[in-house]
Amino acid sequence: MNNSSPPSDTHSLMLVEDTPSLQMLYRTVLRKAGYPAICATTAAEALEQFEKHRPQVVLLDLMLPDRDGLSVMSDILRLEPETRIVVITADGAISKAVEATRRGAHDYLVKPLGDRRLVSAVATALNGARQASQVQTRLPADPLTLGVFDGNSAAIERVRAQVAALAGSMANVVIQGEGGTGRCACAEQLHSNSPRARRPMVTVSCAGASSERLWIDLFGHKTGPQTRAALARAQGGSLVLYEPQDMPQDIQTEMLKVLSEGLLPPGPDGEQEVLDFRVISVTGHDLRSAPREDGFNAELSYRLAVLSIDMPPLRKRADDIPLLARTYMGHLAQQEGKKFTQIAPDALAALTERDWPGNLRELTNVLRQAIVLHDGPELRAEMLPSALPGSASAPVQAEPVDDPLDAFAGLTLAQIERQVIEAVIERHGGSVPQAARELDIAPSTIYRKRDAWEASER
Amino acid sequence: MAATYRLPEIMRELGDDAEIEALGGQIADDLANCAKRLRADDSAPGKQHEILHELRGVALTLRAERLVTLCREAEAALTHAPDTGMDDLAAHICYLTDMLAASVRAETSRSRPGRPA
Repeated sequence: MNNSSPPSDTHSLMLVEDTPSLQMLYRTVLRKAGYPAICATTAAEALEQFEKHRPQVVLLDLMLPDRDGLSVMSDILRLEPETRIVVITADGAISKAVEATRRGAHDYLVKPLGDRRLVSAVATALNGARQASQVQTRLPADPLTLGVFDGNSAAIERVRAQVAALAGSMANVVIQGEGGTGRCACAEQLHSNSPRARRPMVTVSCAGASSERLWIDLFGHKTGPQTRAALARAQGGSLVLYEPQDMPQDIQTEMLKVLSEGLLPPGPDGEQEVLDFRVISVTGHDLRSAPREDGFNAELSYRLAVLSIDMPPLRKRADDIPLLARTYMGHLAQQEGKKFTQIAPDALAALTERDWPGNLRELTNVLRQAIVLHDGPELRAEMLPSALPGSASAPVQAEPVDDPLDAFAGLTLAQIERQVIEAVIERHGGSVPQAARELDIAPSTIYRKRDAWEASER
Repeated sequence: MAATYRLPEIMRELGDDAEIEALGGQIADDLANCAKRLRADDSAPGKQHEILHELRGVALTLRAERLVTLCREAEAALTHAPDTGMDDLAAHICYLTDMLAASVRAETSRSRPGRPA
């Protein structure tokens, strides 16, 4: 039996959660919905299971006992860049989830996980993965990819025209731009509008990979079959290289040799296939700049950057923001099972005024946060994260009181004590220990009083 | 004072008593385990952080708002002022956690009133 035969598809989902009860709950929900999952409780176990089963979708808790979930995610994506990873995080750690999506996570879920949201996220990710593996025109489930080309700004019209003109060419293309501008969506558009659309589009991330790992991913094991090597899998289609300037020197040399000779590296039998794929490079750097100061092989850069597309940052297409925001809101609301049908003018103004350093990715994250935490049908400025300019709600001014004691007229001493304690807790942003320090009492005193108040209200 | 919580939706939909008991038992075990480790590891802030995070994950799933709030406060206290106010807070968290574990275990047990043993 061939040990390197493709893994079975019976386990297309892996769940990585270290808390036994939560793992059991999620697994039960997924099983009932028809998505059986293999499970892992540690990072080490997750990577071992991943190597063994190569699931298409991984549900990954970001806080694991032996390693940070983000680094596990990076390892998985290096092993199989097309894996859809849905990260799980506790509330209050949205920034970590956002970081995960920046690094390539497909989606994120915030605890407590609603059954419907959990199943919907897995279904969307699995459908996307299956469409990709069937080598059909790719329909990415990432909301960011939906609206990248929407809008009437001159910047995006220029990109649309470039994509239309370049899609039919066989020449290698580099797509350059800031993170979150939709470079990957642009690569998918190029592929799906090309004569190679019905053949594979294989992606490989060159950032942060060790030379040994990247060599195997791209060219395969020197002595084993090459069927899982990216270059072999991309034959007839497109090979998408993320951040190719990060390739180690030996990989650059081999890649240049492949592109110059037009032949894939020889297999164990010494046979060499003629190269038949187009390379689409996606990068935040200018691959065309010469002389190169980053050590990237200039000859390779010329081979990769025959044609180029510059993706505009969102601030350069601010006129498109209202349309983009509506597109994303509709999609995200559907994903989250919420009803949002319109965006209030004040929210649109706040969204349009922002610089969006994280570009479309940041816009979708901001909208998702508002949608997750609020209910529709109208998305209003105060629902947007407070970091957005113009969205912070103004502090409520208290009614002026001539004599401070007038506010307590008619109240018992116990009621006054409760009002004072609650006001101090609120002033400290809900922190009981800080309120206790100001009031010079033990935090436990406040907790006991709170318990008593709650009991008296039942 | 009884701990306020709600069993996860899926547990209310399951028809199999054995499965409900297994899930409830595991939740109760995890809660009790967190309380035990929190009591044992009160001198190691890094460990406490990890335990509180885990406990908050379970408490969130049970919509045990009070416990969630306390865990958040304790995590914030550990982050910003590791030496302040944790002892009282940790003791209170452990107390609530044990109560919650007992309630969940009792509610999901097959031998509870109204269900066949």
